[in-house]
Amino acid sequence: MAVGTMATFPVFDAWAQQEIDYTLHAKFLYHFTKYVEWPEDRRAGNFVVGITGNDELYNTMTRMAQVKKIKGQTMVVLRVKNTDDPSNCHILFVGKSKNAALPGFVLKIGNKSVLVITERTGSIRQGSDINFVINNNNLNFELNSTGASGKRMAVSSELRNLALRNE
Amino acid sequence: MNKQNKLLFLLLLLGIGSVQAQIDTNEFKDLDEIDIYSLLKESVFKKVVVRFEESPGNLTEITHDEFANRGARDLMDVMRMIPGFEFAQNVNGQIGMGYQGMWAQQNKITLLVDNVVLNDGLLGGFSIAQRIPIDMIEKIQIVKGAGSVQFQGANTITTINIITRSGDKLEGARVSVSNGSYDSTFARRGISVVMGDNLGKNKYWTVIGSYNSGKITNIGKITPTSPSWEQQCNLSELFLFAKLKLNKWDIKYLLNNYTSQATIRQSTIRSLVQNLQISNEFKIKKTDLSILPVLNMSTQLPMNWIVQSPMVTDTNNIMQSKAQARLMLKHAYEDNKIKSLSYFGVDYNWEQNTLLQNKTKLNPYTSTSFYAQNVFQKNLSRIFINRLLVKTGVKADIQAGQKLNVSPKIGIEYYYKNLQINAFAGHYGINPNNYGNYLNANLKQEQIQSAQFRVNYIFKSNCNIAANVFMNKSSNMISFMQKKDYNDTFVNIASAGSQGIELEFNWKLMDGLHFKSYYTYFQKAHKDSNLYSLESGNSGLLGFASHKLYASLQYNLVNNYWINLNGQYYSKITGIKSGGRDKQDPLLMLDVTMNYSSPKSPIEVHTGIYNILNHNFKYFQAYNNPNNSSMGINNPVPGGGRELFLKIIFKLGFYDNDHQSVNYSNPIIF
Repeated sequence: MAVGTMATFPVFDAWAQQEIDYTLHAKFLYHFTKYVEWPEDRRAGNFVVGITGNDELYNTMTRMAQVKKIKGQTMVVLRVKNTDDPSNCHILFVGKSKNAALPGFVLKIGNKSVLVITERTGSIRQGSDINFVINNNNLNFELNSTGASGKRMAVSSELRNLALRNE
Repeated sequence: MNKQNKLLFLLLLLGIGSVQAQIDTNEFKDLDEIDIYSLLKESVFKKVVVRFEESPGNLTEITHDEFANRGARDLMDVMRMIPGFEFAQNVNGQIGMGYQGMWAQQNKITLLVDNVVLNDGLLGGFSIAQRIPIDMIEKIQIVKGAGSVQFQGANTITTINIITRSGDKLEGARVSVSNGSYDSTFARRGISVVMGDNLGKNKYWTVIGSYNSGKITNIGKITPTSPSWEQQCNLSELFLFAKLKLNKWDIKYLLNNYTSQATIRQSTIRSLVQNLQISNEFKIKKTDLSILPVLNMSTQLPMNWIVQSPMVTDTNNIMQSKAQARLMLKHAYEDNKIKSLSYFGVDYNWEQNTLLQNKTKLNPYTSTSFYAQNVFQKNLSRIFINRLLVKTGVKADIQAGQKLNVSPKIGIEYYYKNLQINAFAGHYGINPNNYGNYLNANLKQEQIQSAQFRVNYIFKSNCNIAANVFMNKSSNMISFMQKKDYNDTFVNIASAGSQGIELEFNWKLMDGLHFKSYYTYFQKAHKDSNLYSLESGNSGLLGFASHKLYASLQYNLVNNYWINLNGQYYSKITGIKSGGRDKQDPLLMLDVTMNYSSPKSPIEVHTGIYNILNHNFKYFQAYNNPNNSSMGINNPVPGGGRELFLKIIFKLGFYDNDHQSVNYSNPIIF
């Protein structure tokens, strides 16, 4: 995609070094699905990825969905609003700007098999299953495998070992 | 083409674009081949490389994607996107550039193409109207305020370096065809070709050529002797730029030919500039010390402003040959806390002028310049954005028969979290000989002071607001004087200057929706109350609008489509007293444009309707001066009439659109 840089106004030149590339998040999301098993009743139909509070990741995942399947299921990417019930999603990504809505989503999801992924410190304690952490310019993640197990999802030991922290 | 056909054509074009639209999905092609372990090693930040000498304080960059998506048709459109730049027409009908109210001619702006100076040696200026095809441009760097030290001598209040596409990345060709339905404006009809190939091991070739043709209408009276001469002028231009890199050797060649032919009476306006630059960087010890010898040679045939048959005795009919040998020493140092980059250089300049009327060769003159510049950066914490930069530079020109010309400058930049503060000041002189004015022995050296103070605050990385207060002052300003008897010369104006403020507000509302805007307030300051009534009318200042507001809204409609809305408001233009008209009414210009561009598609399309509100608008004319019929002034050129513009670019061969890094061994720094 031909995206013009924000270079006209010099501020963005300097700032761009700190600008996050959400393509990497999208790749992680795709790979997480290889280490997580959803229950039998979620392995048919579309594989639904819900995203709230991050347009860039939504756009990236939408592009990915056109060329990639997950576990043989067609990937469908949805924009989720605060008032939506995300229970039919396989993955729900809650962006930084919508982190305040995380407890509400967790409440609606209950024990349904939705892998909740976030990007804000402390989100693991608020019901997130995987929380992205930036560590020395690299993307890493914290894991709450107990929470995922409670929702009938099995997280592989390999992913647990890779996580910065596992609760 | 009537209106209905135009609309149909536009719709058809959009249809073609839709067919060509492809989803950019190759980025995920290898996703299954990489594992999560390698993802953990990737940087999460976007890979935007910021060279440390390109700190944002006084250096602005604009990339091709940026200005193309915002609907630029030519270099004038591009430069108008940056606060401070405007355009004017001089007494000879040339479209030149101005910066913060100062006229670019007489060496006040230096224009470079890949570090090759484009300014003509005669007036120290350049004609910018449709001269350089924007498809050849990868990015433009602008050093605002006191310009780049190494290009001083004939100095500058700003330096513009056009970085062209290079064969190391461009393996194939771009052929651009454009046409505009102009009314009373300049031709925007042309074809340009950019091609190149990577020869491996840091070797490549690039050739860029363009041909533009069209007409200028309604340009009014130019001379007292030919009042109806220029009702319609055909205009054509050939531009050729070639560069070859053979490992460390850089060879660049520039040919710029401009011709205008009037239809009513045989007349020609012609200019030919040739420039060859050869340079080579020798690394003495890895990367921290190197020597850069540069050889510049140029020939310039006359700008025959008004050539009549038989040819009149016109002092402009000069052939100028120039050569410059430059030796630079570069030293770089870096540790965890400090970075330092220094250049030390010496230039030897030689110039020979020949009067074409009688083949008289004038004595060549020579000059020697020494300069040094340094950028010093201290990181105040481990965070990149918390740092202090000090930029210093000085240049001394030694020229027989002239006073020693010493040009110092200093800049301080401070970055603390979201706040950026930049202050810059420079003093420099322009020696009369620098642009070949050998006829007026009484001409004094021009002395210019330039300063700016800029504060920029960033909100959440997607929004910023900036204020830039500036001042430019010139003593003994050198100005071109065109006389009725063609015995043209240069004169000193006692003093002149400009001051004002530039405000910027930019907001990236979301991915794919960008708002950019600026406001400029500009005030002239000069002692010559009768400044605009000089015989030449060339004041060295421009008739800028005191207030200008620019706003641009870009929307990424689908993956590869950008829709752009541009608006420009010019307040009443004042300060034009000799033209018989002392004002230009306020002007609002609106453009709606669309850009389709994808790395995977073999075509790109740029189209739009420009200046929608002003169908019959004619740019302000210099020459209809009832009081002084032959003489014009540096007139503002806000824009042409309503124009439907279309450009199609064909990408031939393998074309890699990734143009993020450029090798050029002779940076302008500041």
